[in-house]
Amino acid sequence: MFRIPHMAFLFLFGRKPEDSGCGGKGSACSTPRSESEANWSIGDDEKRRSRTAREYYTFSKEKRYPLEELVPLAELEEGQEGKVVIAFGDRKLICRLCDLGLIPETQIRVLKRGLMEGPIILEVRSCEIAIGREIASKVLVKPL
Amino acid sequence: MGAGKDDVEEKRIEIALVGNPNVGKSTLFNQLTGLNQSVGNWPGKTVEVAKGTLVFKGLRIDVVDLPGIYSLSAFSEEEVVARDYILSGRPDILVNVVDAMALERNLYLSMQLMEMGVRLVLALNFVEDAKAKGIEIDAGSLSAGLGVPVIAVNAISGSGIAELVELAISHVSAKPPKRPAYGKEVEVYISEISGAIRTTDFGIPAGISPEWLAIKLIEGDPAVLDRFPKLAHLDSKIKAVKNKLEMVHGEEPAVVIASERYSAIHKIVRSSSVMHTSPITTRSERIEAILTHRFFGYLILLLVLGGMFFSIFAVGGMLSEIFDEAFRLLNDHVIGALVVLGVAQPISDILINGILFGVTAALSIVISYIFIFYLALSILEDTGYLPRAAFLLDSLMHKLGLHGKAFIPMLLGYGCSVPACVSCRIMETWKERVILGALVVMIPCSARSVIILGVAAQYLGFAAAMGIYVLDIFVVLFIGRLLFKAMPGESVGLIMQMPRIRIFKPWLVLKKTWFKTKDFIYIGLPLIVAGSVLIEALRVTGLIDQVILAFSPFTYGLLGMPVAVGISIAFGLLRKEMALVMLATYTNTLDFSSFMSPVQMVVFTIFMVLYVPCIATIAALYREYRAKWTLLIVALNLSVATVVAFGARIILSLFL
Repeated sequence: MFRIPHMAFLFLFGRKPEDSGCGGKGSACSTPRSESEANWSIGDDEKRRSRTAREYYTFSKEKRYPLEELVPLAELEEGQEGKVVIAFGDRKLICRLCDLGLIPETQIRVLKRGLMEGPIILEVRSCEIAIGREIASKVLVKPL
Repeated sequence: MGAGKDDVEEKRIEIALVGNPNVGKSTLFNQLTGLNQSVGNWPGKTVEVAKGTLVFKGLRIDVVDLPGIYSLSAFSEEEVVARDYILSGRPDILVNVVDAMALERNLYLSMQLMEMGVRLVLALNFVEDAKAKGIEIDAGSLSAGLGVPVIAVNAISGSGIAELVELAISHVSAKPPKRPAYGKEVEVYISEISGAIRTTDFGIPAGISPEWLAIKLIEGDPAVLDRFPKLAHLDSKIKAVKNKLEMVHGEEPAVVIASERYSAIHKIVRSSSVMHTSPITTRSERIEAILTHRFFGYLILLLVLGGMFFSIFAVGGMLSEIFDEAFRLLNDHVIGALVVLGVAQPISDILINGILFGVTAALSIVISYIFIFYLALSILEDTGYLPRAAFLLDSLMHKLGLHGKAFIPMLLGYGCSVPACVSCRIMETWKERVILGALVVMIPCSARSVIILGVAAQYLGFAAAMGIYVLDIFVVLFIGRLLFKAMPGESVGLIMQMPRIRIFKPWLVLKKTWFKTKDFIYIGLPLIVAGSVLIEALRVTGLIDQVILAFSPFTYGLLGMPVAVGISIAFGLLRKEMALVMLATYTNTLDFSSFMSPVQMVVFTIFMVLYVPCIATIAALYREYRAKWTLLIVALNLSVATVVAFGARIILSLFL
């Protein structure tokens, strides 16, 4: 079951580049994502969370942490610490996060949460990084 | 710089500076070469590659300042520039500038440089700041752990720089350092693929490390295959390796490699630095906390921006009055002199109203408004305040379908649309760049501010001028929202490093301000003078009336403005700051209230603020967006300006 084709883009840290067809159509990779993004932008929190959770649950049974222990980074409080477990998104986003040191098993601390749907300032490897709320909700962390 | 070239010609080396953004790379570059280059404090600032020359102990050294990058994955333009340059094999040695306070993240790039098999020395910057924060780094053991020479420098004070150059020169013909080993199993896969690359002819130049190619192929870097298409023969082998990696680690190969790099770095950093257990809260950290505070942060933002614009307009207004006064005095003297000399009326008109008036107008705008705007902006940049402002304004920018970084081009837009258009590059996706490009040209630049101040504020009061600024912001918000809904494509969220707050160095700020202002003096001044002469000549010959008459159905018919403002519209296309000057020249009066009613003034100001950007901006748009989108943006601008100005005419005439 683990080798179903579109596991590629849902699997831990984004889709694979050589991924021949995400379910047939060439653009299928981005379609479900932009759909979910559209959902997010209207602020459908419940749906968003359950969707992310479902993806995680379906495709990473052998992961180290039980799903109940994970929360989106966006939901950590100021001052709370956590460990990065998984991030969803396209290759570009995942690589950007890697470049800035946000890889699995990295300890982070939330320094500041912006007003309303504003961004979050994190401390990662003793540097400060601001990331938008919607990216932060694609990163699942284990609170410490 | 050409002097003394002959005797050092044969001994010539090229050094390139690489590093993350905000590590003091450009400051070091300035220290090394003395050549001036803009030093920015917001991520992704230096897009162009700067070059300079240094003569050190009879050796001619070319120093190249590469753009600040976090990695060599070739996703952004900066990374492509840096990577292509390094791959070209031109640099004899790389100087990797590293921020001691963020050592792990900075070494991630160093690790990738070592993978490429290039000669490298590390310049450890901000060692003192790190010490103050409780991080002590032993350069010797860091060097031993990495296998790369390391030297502590202070880019701002200049200490350690001579030693750095010496070290770099002494390693020019050394063997490239060997990168620290990754996990055993990853190493096996790397050598499996690099072995295959080595044994088969894929048309790869000798200077490029097969190991590096192997790592890139495992990572799935598309740019490598584009460059060496023959490597596609290894496809099945790479796929097998990737599958194995994925099975064992449960993560995508690119993430596995990134983790390997970070764990190697972590080991080295742990053994070569001491981090005191109780992190000391430094003064700058306390300031940072306040600047992004959910209440005080916005208060400070309001004060900073308010203060900035107030000082620009207060100081600028004062200065431009001085200029006007000086012009009037000079005018009288010159007229007197010309009369004495017996110069014919048309020629003296061209001399006075054309050249003299043009020069004064240009100087008064450049020095009063543009210089002060850039001075304020440079201070904000160098202190590291801009990313904080971007953080605070992220949710507002989301309403436009953009994110916090978009604030920076918008702020630039209040100074001049040209750098604002160019800086739209910092947005990640095409959609965001187009939206932002269309919006920044509608923000009143300093030249258009002159129109707002010179007409609305002068004759209708401060409130009217502010009203027009606010109206403009609403129009921008509305159009942004509209474009966001209407345009296809996606927008990526904000990912931005927050540089530390620093005290700015006055000489650096002044230098930077001068470089930004210089362009206006070189390009703007001749254009304004030429324009003034042209219009004066047209006026003297009487041709001008035809031009303006051609505009009259639009200016008078649709917008109900005096026919004379056609001159502003025509020459505003050339340069917006000429609009008022031209109108004054044409009507031969500086008192605009003598031929415009208050309603007409408002309509005029609104139209001038929103309509098609000046020719320099259109050129910048063309460079960034090509013909089709430039045309669309310009058309959008013109229609928005017409609709809003017409709306203002109808609404205002109902009340007044």
